[in-house]
Amino acid sequence: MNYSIAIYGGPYSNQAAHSALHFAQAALTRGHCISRVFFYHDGIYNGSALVSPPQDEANVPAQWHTLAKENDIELVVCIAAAVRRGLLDEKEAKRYSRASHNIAEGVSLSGLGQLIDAGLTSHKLITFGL
Amino acid sequence: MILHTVNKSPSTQSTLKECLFTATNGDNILLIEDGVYGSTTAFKALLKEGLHYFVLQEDLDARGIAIDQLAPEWTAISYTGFVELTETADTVCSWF
Amino acid sequence: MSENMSDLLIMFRKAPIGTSWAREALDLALVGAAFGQHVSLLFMGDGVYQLLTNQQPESVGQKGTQAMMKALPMYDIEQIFVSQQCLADRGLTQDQLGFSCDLLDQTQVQALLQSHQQVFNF
Repeated sequence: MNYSIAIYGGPYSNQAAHSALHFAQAALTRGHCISRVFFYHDGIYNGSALVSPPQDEANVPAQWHTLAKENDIELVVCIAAAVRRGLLDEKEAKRYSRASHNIAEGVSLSGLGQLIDAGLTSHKLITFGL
Repeated sequence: MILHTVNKSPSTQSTLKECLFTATNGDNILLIEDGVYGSTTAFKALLKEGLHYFVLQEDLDARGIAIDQLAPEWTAISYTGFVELTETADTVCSWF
Repeated sequence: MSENMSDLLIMFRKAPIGTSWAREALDLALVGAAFGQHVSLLFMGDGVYQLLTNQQPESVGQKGTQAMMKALPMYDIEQIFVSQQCLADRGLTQDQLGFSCDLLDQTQVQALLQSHQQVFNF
């Protein structure tokens, strides 16, 4: 089956992104396809390239970025939620006249419509809340 | 059938209560994260008949909750079991 | 209750002001409608507080959700449901609500959920 996942919790503060990662790995192992992960609310922080935990702690955002690359999963961050919280790509940094941008490679900013679309085009949309 | 996932402890939030208020006969309930505290015997009185109750083993283990602390209604499952529950659900509703 | 079923059910269970959930859930409702989906809203739990009149979110530097709520008819979002039980639990009555909505008993709330394949629960 074709799955999409919505994540509303950021890294470290709560379990959402970690639970979703385990779910995704189990779903892939069972032969399912995950087409899109949509990050909303504080979940957008998982799109940061700058998350830097101590070496003996898991870097859940980086694990997501790797899993996505290996399994052709689209990682999409809600643009409205992201720019409000200070997660920018180069284009948005320019638009808001900011000196730098911080979105991770392989993660894209897009509209909330991508979450609606994920619900409509996937067999299952599984949400991991804050 | 709706699969309801709940991730909050029933003693700090009304999430489980609200979930059970809306669930109907044949629905599946799955506790994850801090939700798993709701599977212990202390909260047995919240449960109603006609629902199927599951709790995520990894989250129980992480919190040091043993199977013998659970009310008898609950079945512990792995992440693979979680995926299986989503496969048969018409809708997955996440309560947080 | 509704004879013509909507495509999307968005549930509001969190109080306004204290967190951004109410605004972000409403954003999703409006985008869903803009995508051509028929959207229904269900207010339950502390979400019923979103419907109270006389909110002055600007006193804590916020925009609040009132303007977005008023825009719902323009997006053809006209099915707004409220759990009667959740109102009663909070000592509220329908005349304290600033928006016209249909009160649902527990069985109707359950039926509403069962009738939607797409449920976004905030």
